[in-house]
Amino acid sequence: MAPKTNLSGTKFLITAAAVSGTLGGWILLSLIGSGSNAGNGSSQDSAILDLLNQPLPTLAQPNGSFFGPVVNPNTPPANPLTSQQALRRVVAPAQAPGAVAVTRSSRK
Amino acid sequence: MTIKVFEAMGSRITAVLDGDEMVNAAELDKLPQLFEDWESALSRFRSDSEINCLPSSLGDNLRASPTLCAVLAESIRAAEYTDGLVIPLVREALQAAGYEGSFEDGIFPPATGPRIRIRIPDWRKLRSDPSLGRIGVPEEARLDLGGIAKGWAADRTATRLGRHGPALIDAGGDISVSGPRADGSPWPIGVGNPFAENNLLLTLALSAGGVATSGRDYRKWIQSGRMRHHIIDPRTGESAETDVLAATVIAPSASLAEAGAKAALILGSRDGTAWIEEHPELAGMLVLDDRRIVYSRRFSDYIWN
Repeated sequence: MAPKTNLSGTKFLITAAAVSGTLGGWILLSLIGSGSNAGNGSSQDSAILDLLNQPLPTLAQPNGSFFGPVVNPNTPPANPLTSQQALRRVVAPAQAPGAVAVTRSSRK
Repeated sequence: MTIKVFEAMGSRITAVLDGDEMVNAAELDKLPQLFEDWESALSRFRSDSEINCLPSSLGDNLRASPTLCAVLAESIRAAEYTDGLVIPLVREALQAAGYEGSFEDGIFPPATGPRIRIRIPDWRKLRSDPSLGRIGVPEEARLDLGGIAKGWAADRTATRLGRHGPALIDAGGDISVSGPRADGSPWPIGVGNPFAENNLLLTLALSAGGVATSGRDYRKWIQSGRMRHHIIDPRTGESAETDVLAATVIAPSASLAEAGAKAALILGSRDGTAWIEEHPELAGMLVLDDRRIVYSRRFSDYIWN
């Protein structure tokens, strides 16, 4: 799938490679976002994650490693994901409201 | 919805009240003075602040203001909650790492200087009794409440404003809400991208409690050829060695969220995620140096989708 483009026209694509291990349910995402597309949260083009299909799942792989593969959607993985390794794609949707506030590390 | 923005505690404070606009404006206008009063007690950057004017010979029965008692009590709770990872006793270690002044005042740590390892005082000797107006501080210690004060201030303000309507307070990224918005919907709260200023990673839906982010993406510097940052690991007395660039935690309060985020960052991705999962009241998201993001299982409950 090609990267989605949000309202501001900036590519922001986040691919979720859902994996887990001993803790179960931890999910890795590879960030491929570029440019600033969210402003300070006051506009509709705030880049947020929207899960396609279903909410973020809790996926446990009893024998899986804690950190699973990070998948770049623009480049097919060298070792394709097995059926046990769920891949979910999340994009910046247009329907998200502008954020009222933003949490980030302390700064002025 | 009425919004008040002002500067305090070295940060930008944003207060939002969702209700009657006339009432909102009057209440919001009181906030800058409230924060000024708190900062005059708590700031380590003000020579005349209360914590900087405590007796040089500290002890276990010092008279203190209600604000200092309350924030120290909150800091002790944070220390207990994180098993000593988040404590208000790293001030000298922070200064030894080169962080002497306020970034907001344009005082950046020098690039050179000796590395001095500081022994961290025992946080278990800290005491606070707000009912008596007394605190106890280890004799060799100097308090730095900056880590927990903004979360505490956000929680306190949200409770205060919540009497007048649904409220949200953002104290430099430590955010507390009094409850859902007037129409029953959650508050949309962005999570900043530590790799790109003015960029959001995602938006959260928060109806109660607080959220905070601890990161080493901004307050960082070079000391003797080594990258330093402002988050001290009390176990080593130095800037935390971690693969987590920024940690965002949702908790029942902003102060707890701040403590949780800092603890997760100090612990690193593997132990940090495990620690969050051990606390069912927390949800977390860790952004790693290599741009990976790790979610806790409960974090998906808060993603706006």
